[in-house]
Amino acid sequence: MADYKLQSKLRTNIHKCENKRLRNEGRIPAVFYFHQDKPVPLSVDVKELKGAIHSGANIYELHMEKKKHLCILRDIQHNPVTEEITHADFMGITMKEDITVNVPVHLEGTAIGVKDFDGVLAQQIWEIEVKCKATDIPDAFTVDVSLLNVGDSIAVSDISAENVEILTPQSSSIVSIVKAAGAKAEDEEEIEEEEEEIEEGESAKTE
Amino acid sequence: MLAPRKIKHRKQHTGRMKGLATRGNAVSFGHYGLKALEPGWISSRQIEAVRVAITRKVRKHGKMWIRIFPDKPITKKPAETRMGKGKGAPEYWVAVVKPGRILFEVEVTNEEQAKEAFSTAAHKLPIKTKIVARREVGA
Repeated sequence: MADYKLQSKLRTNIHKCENKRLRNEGRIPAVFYFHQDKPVPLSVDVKELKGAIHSGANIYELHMEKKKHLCILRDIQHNPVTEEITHADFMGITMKEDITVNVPVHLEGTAIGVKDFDGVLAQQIWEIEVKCKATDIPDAFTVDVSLLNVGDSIAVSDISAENVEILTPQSSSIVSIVKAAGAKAEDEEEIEEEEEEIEEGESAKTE
Repeated sequence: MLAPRKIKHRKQHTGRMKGLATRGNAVSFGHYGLKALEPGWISSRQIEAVRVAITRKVRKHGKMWIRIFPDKPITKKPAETRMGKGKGAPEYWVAVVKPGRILFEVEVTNEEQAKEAFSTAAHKLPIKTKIVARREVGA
C-alpha cells in the first residue's frame, strides 16, 4: 500500500544544538503528527529522504522504533542559501479518509503561439489543491499546451481527474500565451527601419 | 529608476544585515531566479542596470520580474565638509538584501536563455549570486 519505506529514530533531546549535531551527522530533524495526537519529534537520514522524494512516491511507510505509520510528506524546509533540506513534516493518514494535498502541474509540448508567433508561455498556477483519498493522489496534472495560440489559455476547469475533488477555483487560469513585451517594440523598430529604407530609396531615385 | 512615492521619515539608520532571508527566498513567478549569496545594499541604479540587461536578453522570448525594491534612503555629506553639523542629505535609494533572497526572476523557454540573461545581470551587482530553478511541490 505504501510507496516507500522510511526508517526514523525518535528524538529525545529537542534543542537547537542537537538539531545542528544531527544535520552534521547526515540526518534531518523531522516531526510526525496524526490527527489530535501529540506531535512526535524524530530524525531521518538525509540520503534516504532524498531518495524517497526522487522516487515520486506519495505515501510513505514511516518506521518509528517498533511502530510503523502511513504518512505523507506535508512540508519540507530548505536552507535559503545552500538549498539543503533542514526539516521535514510527516502527516499520518488513514486510507479511508480524504486528505487535502497540492499536486504539481506539468506542461507538455510547445505551444503554436510560442513556436510560430513569438508568444510567451505564462504559467500562473504551478500546483493545484485537491481533496481525495490517499490512494488516489495523482502524481501530477499534465496539461498539453501544444495547441495554444497567442491569447489562448487553459483554466482549472479544463482539467479532468477521477476520484479527486479540485479545490482550486475552477475559473483560475493555469497557463496562457501572451505576446512578449518586447515583441511589439521590435515590430515598431522594424517598421521604422523599413520606412527609412524606402525613403532613402526614393531620395536616391529623385537624385 | 525605482524609488518610494511617499515616505514617513526622510532619513534612516544604517542598520545591520545579519542572518539569512526568511522571506522572498523561493522562485514564485517565473521558472528561474537569481539568488543572492551575500548580504548587501543594491542601489536603484544597479537594479535599473540589471533590468535593462535582462530585458535585452529575454525581450523576445520571455518575461521578467524584479523581486526587490529600494526603500532605504542613503545619506551623504557633501565633499570637503567638516565632521558634525548633523546627518547628510538623502543621496540615493537601496534595497537591503540578505543571503538567500531572490532578486530577479525570468520566464523563458529554456535554461540557456535564463543563464545568458542572468550571467550578464550578475556582473552589474555588488554581491555574489547564483541561478536557481523553481522548486517543485515536495522536492
